[in-house]
Amino acid sequence: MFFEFTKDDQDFRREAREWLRANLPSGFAPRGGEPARKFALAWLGKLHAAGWSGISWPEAFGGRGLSLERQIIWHEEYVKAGAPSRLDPTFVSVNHAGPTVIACGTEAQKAFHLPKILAGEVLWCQGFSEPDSGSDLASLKTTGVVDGDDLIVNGQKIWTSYADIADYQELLIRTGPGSQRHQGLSWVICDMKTPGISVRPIENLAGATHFAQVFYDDVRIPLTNVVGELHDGWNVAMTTLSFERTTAAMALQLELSVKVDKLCSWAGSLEPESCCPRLLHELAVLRSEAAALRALTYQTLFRTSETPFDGSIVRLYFAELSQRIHAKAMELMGPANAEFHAFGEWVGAYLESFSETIAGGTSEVQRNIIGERILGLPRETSR
Amino acid sequence: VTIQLDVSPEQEQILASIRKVLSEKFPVSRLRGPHSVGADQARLNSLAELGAFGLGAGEEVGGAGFGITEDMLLFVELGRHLVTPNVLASAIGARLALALGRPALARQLISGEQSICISNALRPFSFDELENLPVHLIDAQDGPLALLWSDQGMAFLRCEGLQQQPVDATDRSVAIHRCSLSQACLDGYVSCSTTPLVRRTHLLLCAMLHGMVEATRDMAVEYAKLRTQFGRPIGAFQAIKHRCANMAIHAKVLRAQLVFAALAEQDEWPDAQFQNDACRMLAAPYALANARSNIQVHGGLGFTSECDAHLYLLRAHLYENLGGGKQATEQRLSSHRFID
Repeated sequence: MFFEFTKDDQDFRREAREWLRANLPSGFAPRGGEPARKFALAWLGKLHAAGWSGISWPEAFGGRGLSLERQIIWHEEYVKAGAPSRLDPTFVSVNHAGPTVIACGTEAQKAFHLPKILAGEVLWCQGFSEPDSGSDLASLKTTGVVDGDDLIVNGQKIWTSYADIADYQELLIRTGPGSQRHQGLSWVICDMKTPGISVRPIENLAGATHFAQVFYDDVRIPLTNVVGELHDGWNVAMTTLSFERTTAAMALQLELSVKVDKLCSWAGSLEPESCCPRLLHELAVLRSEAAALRALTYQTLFRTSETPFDGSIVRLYFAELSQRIHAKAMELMGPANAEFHAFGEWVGAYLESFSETIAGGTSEVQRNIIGERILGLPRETSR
Repeated sequence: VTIQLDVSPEQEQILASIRKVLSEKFPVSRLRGPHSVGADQARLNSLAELGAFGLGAGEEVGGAGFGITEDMLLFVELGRHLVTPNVLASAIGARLALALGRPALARQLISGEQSICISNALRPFSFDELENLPVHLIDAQDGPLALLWSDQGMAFLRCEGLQQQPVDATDRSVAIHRCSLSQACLDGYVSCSTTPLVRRTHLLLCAMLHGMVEATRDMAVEYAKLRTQFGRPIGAFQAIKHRCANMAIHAKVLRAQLVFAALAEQDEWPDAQFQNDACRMLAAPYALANARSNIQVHGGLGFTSECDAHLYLLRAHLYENLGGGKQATEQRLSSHRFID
């Protein structure tokens, strides 16, 4: 057990801090539509020009290939600088699609897509969930039938963030005729401008419209767009999700410490009668939990015995802590929280936080995974 | 690689030998029933022989010369087995003796020749005004030496001649005496401003609580696999499964923060106090939550004193108030900034 940042690491930290300070975009990120696309791509392009996009990507594919130590330093400086949230329209391309193409894609797919992703020229969205296949992803029904050199896709996807502004989609479909469950799925690259695709944006409970339902009506996708083997999409999808549970989540987890900073600052500026011992206690607990989440983030990266299932614990703890922090923010705002923009983005962030325990695996599913895969408790008989 | 959070093979070796002794001599079931009080006294020699009280102390006083992280790992194991907090008094007492320039006493504490117990004040106090301060002595033995600490500092107490009133302990597996101190009891004091000893005490206390968090998780999970109702192991039901999952989350989260607090102490991070405070803030609540869940998972059996589940609950309550200073901890935490 040891922990040390070298002198070079410290220099790297200073370099990251100074660059961020000098280059942060001004203003809040737009919440959806074309303005969100423009803002996110411009920021990624700026990062790319300075060598800060794809820090976890191998150098051979245009990334920096940084060590985990350097990656976490970057993310710590990133959130401390108050840079735009990493859960923006570029999240799927940089953290999902890109790494999946690197791991499972053909040379042609790599050569075409990876440079565009890193340079901030294209946006990707995800097409996994369906109206009848949420937590039970393996029951998905959208089909792809082989016809010559193409797949003909029919069906629908839902909860697709930024479908309305994305160029490509990582699409999981059933290609094996008569296949069941995890078998016979394929992970394909879908060009969102292909004829037969229609997008119905959905307004979420926070009043924002950044996710959508996507319909596929005889959509032709070339077989050359299949990533990994045809009918082996489940394994490719698991590869995709494993990226989500590691480095990509670092910045989001660390960001919670910054948010607690803000709450504590507010509490410090409250009238003494509003800042009661109970409130101090609750803030101290949140502060400690955010610290523990940071320690947990480090443990995930720097402990060899960690398994993908341990990621469920981190994911779940993060999600529920995020909700507790945002709920506490609402309490601290008091009557002013009746105004949506009274405290910058806090009311919106509070409402958005309800997705944390649903998206990417509900808390209930995560607890099943922890119980069954980590603790070895018996499965329910119906599965 | 400059960051590595695995337990090293050398550390594993230390732990393996300690686990062997603990499972042979300190099964938790030893603490069941009315004859359990003081059950550990006769057994402590086996731990002293292993060097458990001096793992982190220098070899010149009979210690093993390991670091704070090794001490932390050891106390997790001691916590799992609900070993008397006298072990904490011995290990920390030896360091206090060294800080006071009394190596002979340190050597005696490490070897187990000199026994020592933990004392806990029943109200906030200053070390300048110990007169009539009511304290509890936990598992006090014939030897009159006790360890007292607060956010202010740490001291030895000599309790000769004090009237020690036995009380019915809530944690029935320890003996508690109540007594009223005099200023003359003070036998060597160090301030928190000159030594991190109080922080280290809380670190090891958190380590013991973490051992309890792990032990209760394991106990509940094991029972959930064995106990059958409605034709299925109860662990197949989500209500039980999710309860166990929460216990596992507590264990993993506290472990991560505990390792950070230990490394912060060992490598003298600038935010060592913060890492320690954060750990302390979570340790007792998590130990209590897991102890309560473990009782619930065991059902009617968990409500009996024939089941070990209650022992963890009672011990967690004993530990949650040791050393006081909760308000100051909360003040420090809520004024700490991640962005410095």
